[in-house]
Formats: sequence, structure tokens, C-alpha cells
Amino acid sequence: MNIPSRHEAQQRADQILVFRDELGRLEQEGILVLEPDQRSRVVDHHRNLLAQYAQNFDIDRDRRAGQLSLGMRIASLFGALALSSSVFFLFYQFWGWFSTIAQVLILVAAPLVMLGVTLFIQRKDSSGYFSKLAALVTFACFVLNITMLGQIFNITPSDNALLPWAALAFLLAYACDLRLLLAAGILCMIAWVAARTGAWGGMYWLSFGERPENFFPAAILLLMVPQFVRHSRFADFPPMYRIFGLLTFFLPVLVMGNWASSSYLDWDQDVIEGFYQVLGFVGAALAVWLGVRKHRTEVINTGVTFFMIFLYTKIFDWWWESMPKYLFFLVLGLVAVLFLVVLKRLRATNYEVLRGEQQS
Amino acid sequence: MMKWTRTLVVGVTLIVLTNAVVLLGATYNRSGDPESQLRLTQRELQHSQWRAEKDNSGITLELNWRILPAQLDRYDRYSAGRWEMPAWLDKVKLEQLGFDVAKLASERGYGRRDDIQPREVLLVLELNGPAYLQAVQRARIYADQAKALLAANSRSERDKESAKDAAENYRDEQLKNSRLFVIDAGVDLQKLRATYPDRTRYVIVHGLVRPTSVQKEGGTKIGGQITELHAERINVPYLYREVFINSAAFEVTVAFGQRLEPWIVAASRAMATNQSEEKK
Repeated sequence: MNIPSRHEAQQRADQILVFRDELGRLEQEGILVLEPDQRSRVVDHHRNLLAQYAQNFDIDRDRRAGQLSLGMRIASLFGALALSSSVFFLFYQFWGWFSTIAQVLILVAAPLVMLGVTLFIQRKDSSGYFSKLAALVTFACFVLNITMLGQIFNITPSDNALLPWAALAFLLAYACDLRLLLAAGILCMIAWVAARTGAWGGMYWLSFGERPENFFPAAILLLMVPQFVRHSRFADFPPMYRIFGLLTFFLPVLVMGNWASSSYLDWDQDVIEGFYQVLGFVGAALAVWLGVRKHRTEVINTGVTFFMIFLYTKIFDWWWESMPKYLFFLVLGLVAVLFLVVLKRLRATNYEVLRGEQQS
Repeated sequence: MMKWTRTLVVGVTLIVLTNAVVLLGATYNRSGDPESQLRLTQRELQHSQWRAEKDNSGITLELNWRILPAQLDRYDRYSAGRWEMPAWLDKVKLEQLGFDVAKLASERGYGRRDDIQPREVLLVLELNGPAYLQAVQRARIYADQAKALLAANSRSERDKESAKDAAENYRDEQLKNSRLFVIDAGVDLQKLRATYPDRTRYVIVHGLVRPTSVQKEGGTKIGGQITELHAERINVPYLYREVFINSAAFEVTVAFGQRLEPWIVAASRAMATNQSEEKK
């Protein structure tokens, strides 16, 4: 079988571990006992697969390795952030002592060199931890590069800087299979689309945050990416687009459901707030329904979280002042219980649908 | 995953192209004759303090621009903030800048006004011109008023303090305070330059104006604030670093190019006469 990505290799390795555990239990309970020949063929096949994956992708071959790799992921994230900050401060510490030409050369060379280093490390490091570290430093160098050129030549800030930053972040994310860089690229893209939307609406680009509706086009774009772009070798990426898309939609809705003054809509303030509150509830419920239908955990979780936030915000508005606090928190608790019951029923319905699909 | 050679080629192209666009823009700004050129001193340029010396070895100067407010209250007459409404940035000027003033005046809720958002416009800065002379004149009038008040009631500690502050303010206005005032705004560079043809006294830069209103005795007064000046921060190249490493007085020639972005073309320590003038 051809395994195209690290993620799929890890998924297969996890399935093998689960299979081994289950087979052991079945044998203990006397339900299924494999013939020695069959057993040795399965064991050999799995051993070969795991060895191949370990060689190509440095995957976790057992649970202990999985626990350690979580620690490595955290260490690599902190290391990457710290090294990026170090690069930033290193330049600031000494740049005043260089001529303009030297400053420009250092700034241009830094991301170029780091890009080469990242790709070199990526070829050598099958685990991906070190290439993640190097990729984030490359991105930081490029951000520093453009920011500092702006400062050296007193250039008026422009939202156009966000485009090449996003482009490099996406390039590194797809080249090295890095979700952290994908998140950086998505954030740059959100800021650029929102800034452009604000500018087309007559705003100064840096004020784009003052009108949360500027974020809606970016939310739609992000939600459309996994629909139209195939990610067969990057199974982790579509959920990232969906989560950021939903956050980019629900957060502005939450803001405008409470502070209508920031809206473009020329309606009465109460009407705007009411409209966005309804939109928030309907949108969150729709997200949960879609997530259940399409079996997308991240969509369900984001939908449920925002539904709860919208609900609690509304309950706070209605009853925080008028109710005794014990009663207020009792209502919150009862709402959570009610929500659990609804989700449990939804899960049961989902099982029935799945069973029906399997039988047919 | 993408092949690493392809990634390298795409990445290098992206980085080089982006830098080329930025550097070509900076070169274009500095090409030909500058749009304007001012000779400024430490009165108009001050050191930017962002982590200065500790973590930041670079030196950045900040344009110390001022506005002449329509009217000063008793408590802020000595230090009119930039956030006040300049006298000239009234309803008529806001209309000229493209704001829907009628809508601004009619809306009940301040925050609901669509046109309350800042807009990018062209701002005219005047160096050592009528606006500065008016500021000096105002300071002199306040000093005279405070002195007269003290003469009428010499026991009042408050009046003594006021007279002292007013006299100090008058002296600072003559010797220390910035002489760079934002005096007009527009949207057409050619028209503004035709109105202010002296390129060594008037500089035109990009900036932001936001409509605002204040409650006065006669009702609500609508005007504007200058919320940002894009050319505010000016980097000091290594060549002129020595001029700025201590607090000595200096003279700097700042040019503003085709894109109205500034750069330092000359800098030197100020003549001894200037320094002694300040010490007086």
C-alpha cells in the first residue's frame, strides 16, 4: 500500500496497535485464535509496515513513544517561538551599527538562508520537529525583513505586506507538512482580506477591526478552501481551514450581537443586535448539524462551543442582575444538562443513521 | 509533499520579488527632486524611545508636530494635545475631505455614524510660519493675563503659580516648543501645493483624519481630529548616527519624496549660537 503522508502512516500505525490489543483480548476470551501460520504472517506484515513507516516518517510505534512525541511537539513549538523572538531582538540589538546597505543585505539574506536551512533539515529530519522549528524562524526572518525595510526607508505601512507573508507561510506549511505555519498563513490571509474589505468600504486599512463584518468574506473563503482544494496528502489541513473559518465567522457575530455600533448595517441598534444573536444561534446549530452529517468533529466542537457562548451571553443579559446568584448558576447548570441530553440524543440518532447506511 | 527544489525556487523567487518591490518603491520615492525639504532642529524632531539603547541600537526620530486648537480651556492652554480639534478642521473642511457632515450632524448615536471612521488624507505641515507666531502670541497673552491677575490679587498662591507657569510657557514657546504645525488638509496634492508653493516651509504628507464632536455651550460642535501622520517616524542612517547619540542640539534636513515619505539628507550638530540661545 502506498502511504503518501506522515499523518496517514501514523494513523495506520495506531490502527495496528489497536488491532494487536483487540486480537489479544479475543484470544484470551477464546473467541478467535489465529493459526500459528496466520499469526506469524500478520505479525511479520505489521512489523515490516511499522519499520518502513518509522524509517520514512519517524512515527510513534507504541504508546510511550506517542506520549514522548507530544512533549517533543510542545518543546518544538516553544523553541520555534523563542528562536523567532531571538532573531527579532538580535537584529534590533545591532542594526544601528550597520550601514544601510549592510542592513538591507542582512535582512534579505536572512530568510533566504533560513529557507535553505529549513529544506535541508526537512530532508534529514524525518520526525518534522526540527524542520518545524527552522520553518517558523524562516517565516519570522521574512516578517522582520519586510517590517525593517519599511522602518529603514520610512515607508508608509501597507496591508500588501500580508500577502507575501501569507504566501511564504503557506509554501512552508505545504512543503514541510506544518500546521503551525498553515495557521500563520491563514491569519495573514484573514487580516489581508478583512483589510481589503474595509478599504473597499471606505475605511483606512488598519481600522479593519473596527467593523467586524469585514471578516465575513475571509470566513467564507476559508470554509470554501477544503471544498474546492483536495488535501489528500495533508489530512490535518482541512480541519484547520474549517476551524479558522468558523472562528472568523462566529467571533464577529458574537461582537455585533452585543455591540451593534460597529456594524455596517444602517438599522436600529437593537434590531442589529437581535439579528446577529439569531444569526449566531442558527449558525452554531447549523454547524453542529452539518458536522454530525459530514462526520467532522472540529465543526461539531466549534458549533457546540459557540452555541453555549451565545446562550450563556443571553442568559447573562436576561438574568444576571435580577436573579439571586445561586439561582443564576443553577439555571446555567441546568442548561448544560439539557444540552448534554440533546447531544446524547443526537449521537444516538447518528448511530442509527450510520447503522442504516451500513445495512443498505 | 512538494519537491524541495521546487519549494526552494518558489520560496527564493517570492522573497527576492517582495524585496525588489519594496526597494524599488523606496528608490522611486527618493528619485528626482524631493517634493519638499525642511530644515528641522531638536524642537521639531525628538528621539523615539522604543527600548532605546537597551535592546534597540537603532535611532529613530519622531516629528514633533502640533495643532492650533480653536479655543483653549483654562487647564490645557499650555499644552494643547494633538487629539483636540484644529481650528481649521471644521464642518466645511470635513465636507471637502469627503465626509458626509449632514449625516454626522443628524445621527443620534455617536457610535452609529458610518463616517466616523478615519480617512486617509493629505496633511499640510507648516514650519515656523503664521501658526507658530499665533501660538507665541497666545502664550504671550496668557502670560500677560496671568501677570495682571496676580497684580490684582498678589496673595493668591494659585495666581502666583499660574503666573509662573504662563511665563515659563511663553519662554518655552519662544525657545523650545516645536514650530511645526499641521495647518490644512486636502485630497489633491497639486491643489494643495498650488496653495502652499514654498517647498522649504510647507510639507505635504499622508495622514488620518477622524470626525468628532464636542458638547459646547452653544450646542454640539462637529470637527475633526488628526489621528495619525504616516511620515511621523524617521530612521537615522548610520552615517548620521554620531549627531544624535547625545542630547546636544542638532539641525537636520529632511526631504519628502515622490511618495511623500521622508528621509534624512543632512544632519549636523547645531551652531553654538543656537545652543546658547536655548540655555538662556
